[in-house]
Amino acid sequence: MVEENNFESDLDDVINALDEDIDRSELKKKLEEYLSYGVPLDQAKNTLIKQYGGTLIVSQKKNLKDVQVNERGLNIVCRIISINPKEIEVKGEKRKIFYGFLGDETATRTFTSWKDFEINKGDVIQITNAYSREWRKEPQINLSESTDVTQLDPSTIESVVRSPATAKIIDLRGGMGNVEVTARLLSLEEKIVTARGKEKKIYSGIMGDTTGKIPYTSWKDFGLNENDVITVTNGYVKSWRGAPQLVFDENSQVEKLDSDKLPLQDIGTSLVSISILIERGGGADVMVEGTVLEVIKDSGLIYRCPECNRVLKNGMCGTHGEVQGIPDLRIKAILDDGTGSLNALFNRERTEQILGMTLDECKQTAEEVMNPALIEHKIIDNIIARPLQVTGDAFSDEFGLTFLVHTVHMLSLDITKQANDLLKELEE
Amino acid sequence: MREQAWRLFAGEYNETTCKVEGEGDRDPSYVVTPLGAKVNRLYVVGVLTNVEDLSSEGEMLRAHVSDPTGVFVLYAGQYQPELLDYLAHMDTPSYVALVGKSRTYEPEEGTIYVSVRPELIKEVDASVRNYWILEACRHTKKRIEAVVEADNMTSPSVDELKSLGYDTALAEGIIASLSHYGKIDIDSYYSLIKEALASLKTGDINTHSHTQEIEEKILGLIAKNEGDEGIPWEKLVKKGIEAKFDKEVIEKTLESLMDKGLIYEPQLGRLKTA
Repeated sequence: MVEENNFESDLDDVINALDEDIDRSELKKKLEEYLSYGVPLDQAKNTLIKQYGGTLIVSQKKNLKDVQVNERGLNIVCRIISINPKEIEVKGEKRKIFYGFLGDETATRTFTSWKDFEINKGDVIQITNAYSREWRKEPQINLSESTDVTQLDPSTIESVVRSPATAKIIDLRGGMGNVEVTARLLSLEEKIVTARGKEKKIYSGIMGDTTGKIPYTSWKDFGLNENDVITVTNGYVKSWRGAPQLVFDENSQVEKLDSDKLPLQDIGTSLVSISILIERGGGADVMVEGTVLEVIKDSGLIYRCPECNRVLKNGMCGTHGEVQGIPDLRIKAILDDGTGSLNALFNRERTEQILGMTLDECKQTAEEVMNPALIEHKIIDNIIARPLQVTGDAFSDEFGLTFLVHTVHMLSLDITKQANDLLKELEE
Repeated sequence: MREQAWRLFAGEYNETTCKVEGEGDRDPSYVVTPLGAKVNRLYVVGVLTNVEDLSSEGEMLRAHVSDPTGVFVLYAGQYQPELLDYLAHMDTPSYVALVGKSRTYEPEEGTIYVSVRPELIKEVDASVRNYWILEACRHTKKRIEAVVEADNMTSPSVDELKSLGYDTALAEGIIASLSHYGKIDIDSYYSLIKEALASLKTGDINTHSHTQEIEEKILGLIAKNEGDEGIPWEKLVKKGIEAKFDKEVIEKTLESLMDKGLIYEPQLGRLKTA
């Protein structure tokens, strides 16, 4: 039951929100009626105010961890952990918005501000009348034109709970902050770099979990060794050479786990759709299944400049003129899985595998018929419309997504079992 | 970024009446199918059934590629000499892999016919075709599921579909489809997949489908009752209902038979086999 005095202050709230004078006992009776039906207090109050034509009051201050998706009239006291400006285009007009993280004692959330409230990193603020939306399966706080922001004494919030997003490697995207990742270090090397005029030792390599692999860089010496299994807390993801990279530094924590965790054989390259790879901007050692829909010119038997390795055109190098070319094999092809397409590059070994011919055999055959394009035609015959599974590194560039193929595997065309399984699934 | 090649059946593609024009000169145009495939390019493996010369000099060819659910219509023009030459010399029937762009033809306001302008055609074998059918089934099923998800939302949006894991292109297509087509008949598309899968199981190249079976039965009914002057429309519908067909199915079948030129109206309201 609701206590008597709680009630009085709630009635005050309602009366204050109303323009007209309404009999207090009448309001009280109605409020009690709503409550007796189990209507939540906030809703009951707002319903009354609506009935009597007043201006809605915002709900009571909420802890961030209690904020759900699609709430309105949010009232939050929080600290701004990070804030970044961003230019976006809305209906053809440029608009400046702000995004970042905010937090209170209970949780950390992402936020978007559609107006410049002149807030800065570290500010403690009271936000009135905000709303929440879903972003990456979590509530995101949105500040709009009708939101009010008041600066508070920074000591109002002593410490902000960092609630890191535990992520699998396949889900990491450039721009993500405060992530927690558990992975095995598949390689590790030390590098000296110059940062802000000072020499600094960094540690980088490839790490992997059961969903995939990602390059990483550590700006602090955590005493890491190759093959360590670690949990990184408060790392962030940068887009580096067109693909995501996990970065951790003095603000991050690294915990070493039992080396039995995440055994090497479980570290995989899981199959991803090309649309996800495009959205992700690339990835290290990823697996894709698709069909080759086009072989791009200059595939097959090519000659490279002995000086600069560039492909010769009519026996000429763009930089070094007429040279004695070094023969090589390669395929540039469009691989498409129905969700997206990428430019797959097959090196000499992979091309030999697809052709079932060595470079020497290709050279011989082409010389016999005096037509180097013959090899390209053979490739087209062997590879177009052929479903393939490839693994390799993907990165984005001005042409879209480029994929350096490490392994290629022709998919079996015997689909009887899969067809039966799908039919069964449909009949259930 | 190159547009992806959608995997979809003729049975879905040919139902398309929604067109999305690119805004700028360089923006691609799309057609949006009832299941929300926002198609600029498509990939099909089917049976090339015929190639016709539409001009005297072979500058324009029309071809038909059949899959278990329907027929894709292809138009290849003078700007693709190599492809024209290849297509003109192909045997029919043969299995072909086809990459092409979606095209539309609007003979009058509100009527849209879709076709395909081929970019690449290559002869393949039956196993490649079977693999494609399975792939098209999976992709169609995914689109049906996305339509169902969107139907369950109070206010369906691209963002909400994306948060369920659908990629941007499909999420946009689904929203465009909902506003253009309204309620989608999900069941008919589930039957489409089942028919296609059934064609794989029997290994039947002829793809003798359920629809074809109904068409043959209705055709039989007309032939039996047409006399010299043809059977009145209402009488045939009555006979069809007696033979346990839905009125709607009968009417749809008659339309289809008419389109195929298998029946005609000697006078208004009477039907006769051709």
